[in-house]
Amino acid sequence: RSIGCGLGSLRSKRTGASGSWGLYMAGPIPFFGPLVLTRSGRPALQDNEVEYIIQPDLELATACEASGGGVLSLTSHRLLWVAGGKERAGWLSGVQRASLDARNMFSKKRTLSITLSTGFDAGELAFVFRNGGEDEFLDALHTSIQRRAWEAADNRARSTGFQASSAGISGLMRKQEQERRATGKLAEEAFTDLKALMGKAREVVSVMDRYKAQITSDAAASGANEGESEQMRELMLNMGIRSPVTRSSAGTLYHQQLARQLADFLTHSGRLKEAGGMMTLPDVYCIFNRARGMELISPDDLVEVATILRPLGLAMSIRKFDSGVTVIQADSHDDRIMGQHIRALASQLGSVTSVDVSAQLRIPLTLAREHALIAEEGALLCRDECLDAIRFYPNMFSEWA
Amino acid sequence: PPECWSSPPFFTLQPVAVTREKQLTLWADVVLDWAKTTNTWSMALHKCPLWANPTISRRLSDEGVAAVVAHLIAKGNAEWETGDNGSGGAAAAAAVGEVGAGRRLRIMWKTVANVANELIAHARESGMIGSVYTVFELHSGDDAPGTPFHQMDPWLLRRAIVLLEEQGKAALFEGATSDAEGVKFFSA
Repeated sequence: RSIGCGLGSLRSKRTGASGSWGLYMAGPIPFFGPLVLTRSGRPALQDNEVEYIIQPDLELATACEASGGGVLSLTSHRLLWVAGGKERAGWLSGVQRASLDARNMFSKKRTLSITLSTGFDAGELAFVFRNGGEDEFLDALHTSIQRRAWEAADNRARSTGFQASSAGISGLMRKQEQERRATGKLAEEAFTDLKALMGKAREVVSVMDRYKAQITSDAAASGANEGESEQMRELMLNMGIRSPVTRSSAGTLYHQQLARQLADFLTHSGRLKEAGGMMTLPDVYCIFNRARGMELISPDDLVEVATILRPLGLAMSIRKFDSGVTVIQADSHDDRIMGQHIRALASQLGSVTSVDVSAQLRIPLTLAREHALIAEEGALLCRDECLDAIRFYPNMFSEWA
Repeated sequence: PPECWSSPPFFTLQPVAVTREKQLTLWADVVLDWAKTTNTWSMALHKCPLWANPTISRRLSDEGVAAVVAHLIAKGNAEWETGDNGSGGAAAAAAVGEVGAGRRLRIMWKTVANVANELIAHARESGMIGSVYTVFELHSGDDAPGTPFHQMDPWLLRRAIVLLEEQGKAALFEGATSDAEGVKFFSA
């Protein structure tokens, strides 16, 4: 049902890409085409595309051009090259062969030669590695090319042809049973062979996607189970990260790439916005790690990453309150506007406590208290200290005095 | 009583400086208005009915009372009857801490200067120039009712007379008690 639909749309995207390649076979074409980035500066990955290795500080020399100080990323489908302020990507399907030159005793410099298929303007690409990492890169490159991930999707799409035995309710049930078994087998295989895991990772992620699609379609169909499917929806969305940026794949760029990924994660489906433009670090730590699943980041890493959000211009930054509470705050958040919301709430209810603010604005109690204190500091609220709590009133002193 | 006195936040000493300033100004107004209405010139601090409003179950804390008193003293509208009148916050807080000791505060909803001016003006208009009057006569004499000085506390009258003496408009005659002291007014 929805499973078929999911892959069907997948297929049309893929044929669009590979179809355009066929049209260009007229004259010599450049291997590298434009690379689209997300708003945080991360490469926008295709469906089922997984990032394997990110290698910085490389030089590129081809027959047509040379550029230095660039970042080369290997994904399951493409080679991404960012240098001189330009971001470009080339399909792995165009690579015929790749090899490294011999090791030199006197310097760490090694050249990775990539031979392209006929029809490209440059016969060969040469990437110069000066700081190591070339062996892993070549290994990963070979494995990626062998796997031919860009074709497999097409094959799977094509194989969902209709058969008589899959008709009717029993057919649907049988199909679901098969898929469930495949999923179970998938988990087994994936965990026993770590290298095969790299390939299965993509499949696992697409299984998650199918579940996600199923939940959304269920929710749309029967409004009665809304509470339940709402919960499932949240659970699934929290598993939405497809290719975690890990320490081994980003090297010295680790924190920067992580920062960009965190920014993407928090703005995707409006997580930060839903939380009122502000989220405490422990909360961010929990949901980010839960979504990553493996390769969890440490609290120190999170603090480090949060600190560089502002310098990288990612539309959010770290903020520490006098009480010691540390949060990640979206740039769009305005203390004054929040203060006025609370003041309006206080006017409406007569007076509010932090608990009231937390409940009405749907934000955590710690943050509700901070916002109320800030509003008080800005002379929007005044306080009444009772035995059990502090009640905040709209600041009438301005009107009386 | 004014509207603010019925509002709970009025009885919590506000932590934010800007808001606190306004709050203290309001408290000063409330205290002086009450003193004027009840013709109170001095009171035992802890007996003042203003510090608590039972209707809303709120009480101004000792710290709050100290802040209000300090504000009044700084404005020149109050002074301690006994002891140090230094404007230090510690002195003021310590003073209020002795609330049980029944320390008395003088409230001057008219300042000494005001009273002095009224006194000399009244004396000149009423033909009291040249004669000697006792302080007692001024606040409780046969002619006292109807004057602004009727039932005024003797200490305040004395202060006003002392000020007039400094200004060369009157002379103070020492006496055994405050009431027995006398004053002679000069013409302009």
